[in-house]
Amino acid sequence: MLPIDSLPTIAATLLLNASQAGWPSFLTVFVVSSILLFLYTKSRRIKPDYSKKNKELRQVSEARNPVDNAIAEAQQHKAEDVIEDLIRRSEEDANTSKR
Amino acid sequence: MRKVSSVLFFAMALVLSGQGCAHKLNLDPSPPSGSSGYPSAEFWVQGRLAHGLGEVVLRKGDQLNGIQLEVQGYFSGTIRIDSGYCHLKKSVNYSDTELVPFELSGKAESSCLINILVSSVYPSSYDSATLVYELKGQLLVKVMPTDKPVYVASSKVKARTDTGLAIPYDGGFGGVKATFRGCDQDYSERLSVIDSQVLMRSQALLRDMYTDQCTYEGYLDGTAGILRVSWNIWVYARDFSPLPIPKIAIDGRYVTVTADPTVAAVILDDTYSLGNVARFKWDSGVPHTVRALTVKGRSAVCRWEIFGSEWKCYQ
Repeated sequence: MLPIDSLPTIAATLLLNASQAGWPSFLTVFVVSSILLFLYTKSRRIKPDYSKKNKELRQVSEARNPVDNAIAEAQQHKAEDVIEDLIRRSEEDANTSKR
Repeated sequence: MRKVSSVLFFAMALVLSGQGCAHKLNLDPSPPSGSSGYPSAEFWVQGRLAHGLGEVVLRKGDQLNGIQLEVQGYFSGTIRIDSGYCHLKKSVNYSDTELVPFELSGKAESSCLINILVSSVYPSSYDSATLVYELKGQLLVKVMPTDKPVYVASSKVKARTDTGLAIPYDGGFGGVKATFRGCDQDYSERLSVIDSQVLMRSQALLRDMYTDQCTYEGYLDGTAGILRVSWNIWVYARDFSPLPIPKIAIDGRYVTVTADPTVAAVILDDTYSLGNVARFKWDSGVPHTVRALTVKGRSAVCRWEIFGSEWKCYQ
C-alpha cells in the first residue's frame, strides 16, 4: 500500500518523465497524475463542519434564556418589593409629620 | 514539453488545493458578545429602535398587547423570548432578514424583564464553515402600581468603569435622598439637583461587579416629591469591545458601507451582503437601517430617518 503523502511525488515524477516522451504518453500520465493529486488534496483538505456544533450552541443558548430570565426577574422583584416598602414607609412618615 | 507539463501541473495543483477555501465568513477574534455580558440584539419597542436593551412603562392592569415588540432576524434562524412575570415563552422560526413581530397577551400585573435571543443561521455553506454565536437583548417592562412618576433607563457598562445617568427631576432643588436596591446591594446617599437633574453614578451601585446584569430599583425623595427609578445595567467584560460604527457613504443612487474587517455581513434593510464592504441601491426618500454583524454576535446598527437626514448609530 502506498502512503498517501508520496502521491504528489509520484505524480510529479511520472509527469516529468512522461514529458520526455511524446504527447499521447504525456496525456495518459497527465490524467493519471491528476487523479493522484485529486486524491491527495481530497485526503488532506481540512473541511471543518461546524453545522452540528452551531446547532448545539443554539440549543444551549435557547435552554439558558428562560433560566437567565428567571434569575434576573427574581432579583428585580426582590429589589422592587424592598423599594416599594421603603416608599410606603416614607410616605406614611411624611403624612404623620404633616398632621 | 517540460515547460508545458510544469505549467499544467502547477495550474492543476492550484485549482485542486483551492477548492477548500470557499464559503468562509470573516472571522471575529473578539470574545462572543453574549457570554461577555454585552447585549446586541436589535429590536423595536413602541416604534423606537433599541440595540441590546430597551425599556417601556405600563400602568398596572394595562393590556400587555399595548407593547409593540419586533425583533430583527438575520438570514434565517430562531428568535426566542422569555419572561416569567409577563407570561411569555415564545420561539419563532424566521426564514429571511426581517423584523419578526411578537404578540403579547394578558394584563400587566407586575414589572418584568423580557429576555430576547436571536440565533441566526447563515446560508448553509457558510454556517457549516464557521462557529456562529447568538445575539442577546433585554426589554425592561416597568409596571407602576399607581399613576406616579417614574424614570426608566438601561445602560451597558464596561467592568470596573463608571457611567453617569442624568435623571430628570423637574421642580426639585437643593438635594434629594437617593435610595437604590439591586442584586442584594443597598445604596442611600444625598445627591444634588442641578438644572433639574440628578446625576447618578453606576460605580456607586456596581462596586466590583465583573460581568453581570442587574436591575436597580430606587427612588429620589426631595422637594418635588418621590420619583421612582429603574435602571437596568449590564456589566460587560473588560476584554470585550463593542463593534466600531461602519462608515456609510451615499453616492447618488447608491450607498457604500465599509465596516470593520471582522464583520461577516452588512445588511441594508432586508438585503444582506456577506463580507465587510457592501454597495446597495439607495433611495433617500424612505427611512433605512444599516447593520453590521460579526459571527461572535457583535453588531452595529445605523438608522436613517427622512427628517434630519443624518445617521443615528448604536454599537
